[in-house]
Amino acid sequence: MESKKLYNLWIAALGIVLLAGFITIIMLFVKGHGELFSTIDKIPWTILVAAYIFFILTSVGLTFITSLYTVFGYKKYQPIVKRAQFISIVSLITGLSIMVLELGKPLHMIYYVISPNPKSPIFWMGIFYSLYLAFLIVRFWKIHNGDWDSKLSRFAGVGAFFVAIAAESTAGSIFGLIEARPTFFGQFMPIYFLLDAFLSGIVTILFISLIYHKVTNTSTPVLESIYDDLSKIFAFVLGVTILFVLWRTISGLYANRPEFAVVEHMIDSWSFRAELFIGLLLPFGLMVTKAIRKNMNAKLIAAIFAWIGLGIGRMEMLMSGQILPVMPKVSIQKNMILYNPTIWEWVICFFSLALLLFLYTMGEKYLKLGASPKLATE
Amino acid sequence: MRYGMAIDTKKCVGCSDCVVACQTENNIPHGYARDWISETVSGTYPELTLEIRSERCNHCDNTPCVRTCPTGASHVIEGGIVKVTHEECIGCGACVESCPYDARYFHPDGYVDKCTFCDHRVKNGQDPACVSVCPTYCMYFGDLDDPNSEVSKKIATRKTKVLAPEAGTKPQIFYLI
Ligand code: SF4
Ligand code: SF4
Repeated sequence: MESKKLYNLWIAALGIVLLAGFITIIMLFVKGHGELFSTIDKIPWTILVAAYIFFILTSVGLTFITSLYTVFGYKKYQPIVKRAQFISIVSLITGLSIMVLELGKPLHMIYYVISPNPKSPIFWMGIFYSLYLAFLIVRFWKIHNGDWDSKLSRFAGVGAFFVAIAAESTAGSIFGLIEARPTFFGQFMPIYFLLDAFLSGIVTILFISLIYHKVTNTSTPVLESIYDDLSKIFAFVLGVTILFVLWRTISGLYANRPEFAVVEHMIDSWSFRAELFIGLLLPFGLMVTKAIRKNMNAKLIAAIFAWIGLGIGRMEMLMSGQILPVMPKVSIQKNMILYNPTIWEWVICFFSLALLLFLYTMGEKYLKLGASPKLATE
Repeated sequence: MRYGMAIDTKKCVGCSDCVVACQTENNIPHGYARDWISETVSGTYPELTLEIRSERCNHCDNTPCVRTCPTGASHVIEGGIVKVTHEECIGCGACVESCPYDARYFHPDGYVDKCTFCDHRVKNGQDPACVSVCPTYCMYFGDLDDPNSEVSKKIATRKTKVLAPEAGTKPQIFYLI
């Protein structure tokens, strides 16, 4: 009864956010972006793009997690594959939906097909993500029907892994290839996206699974051992990300081009500090201390902090490329451009999060996400 | 045929007539503009120089904005004029981000818009609206491939510069300095 009550409360809370989101979407189509969003033409990529990146990174990261079994053959991790694969799909769907809402003219997407431009990274990103979604759905459908190892099932799983790498690095290149905005840190970006995707995947699977096992009391020693392993990888990836963020900042401080003034501005901002200290250093400290890492609650807390850090980090990355005007216009607009999301932009962000959690909850209820052949025989 | 412009920074007084003419000619929504006035002060007091420039899309030869557009909405037409087909634009913002001159803006209707060199006027043998309205006659428009055009002669006989040459976009608007 207690858990039923909790479940109903959870669904009601998600339902309210989803309803608010649907109303905002209808208003968006009636009134247009100009009315509801603070998309200023100096900063075209705002919080919805940050949310989009957040979800696609998460999706790809979860595919990296499933690849431990699917590609690299570590059977031990099979029990978390189905859940990770499913969240990967819903995260991708959420990300793509929010992208459509961000576009000024989503209905014109037909020209993506009619008059494509193969020189454009966005064009290739669209191709790769469509392919990726197809691979994910086939693989999930197969394992849902108990087919983990047929040729088609394996092909879809391995295919999803490689297309995910292509898609994610192409998404990074959208920023990396913009020469006009050097503070996107050019060639770093495709690699950074892959690294961040891995971090997002680990954080998400730990975050969702640990809460799920807590609420449903379904943890087992096998699962706990898997989460122990994942938390070691978590610590390692956090460490690499910290190094990456520090070197990116230092290279920005050393740079001579006037655009890099933005780096000093960023260091002074609360968001940079929150990302570094709360999102990276704190969970890193927790996860490298063996005695703390072993504790399931500590893992969950570290995942929550890192998750918040990832959200802030996406916004930080986007803003660092845009808040200073491109060169010739600096003579008119000398100061950093301020961007504050409107309430409607926030509603859409929370809507997308609620959508992901709702779809996941439905998956957990109807699709037996914890299933794996190994567990079935135990 | 290669359309381009020469703009005399010695003659420009920064009256913004070109901005208003463009807004009227091209029905630009309130609060937006395809061209704008920039002012740069250089030197040290008391030897100061004020340069006033009328700026817009440079109709570059090397176009990151066109390269990055996924739908081909941003494209180059005859004479090297860089245009956006509004019906094909999805409003992704990639071109806005990649232009080193910030020459594009988001139209409130969701697509991206920018200077067209008034190609609808040029087709009829007229100058762009900004050029024809300038009270000091500081702008020259024409075929850069034709050495006898007024714009080519100005560029050949005066000292010139382009904006942000380091961006490598090969702008086709030359400032006479
Ligand atoms: S000025 Fe900007 S928008 Fe115009 S052609 Fe050059 S890069 Fe493209
Ligand atoms: S905003 Fe429009 S014109 Fe610009 S790149 Fe996207 S689709 Fe092309």
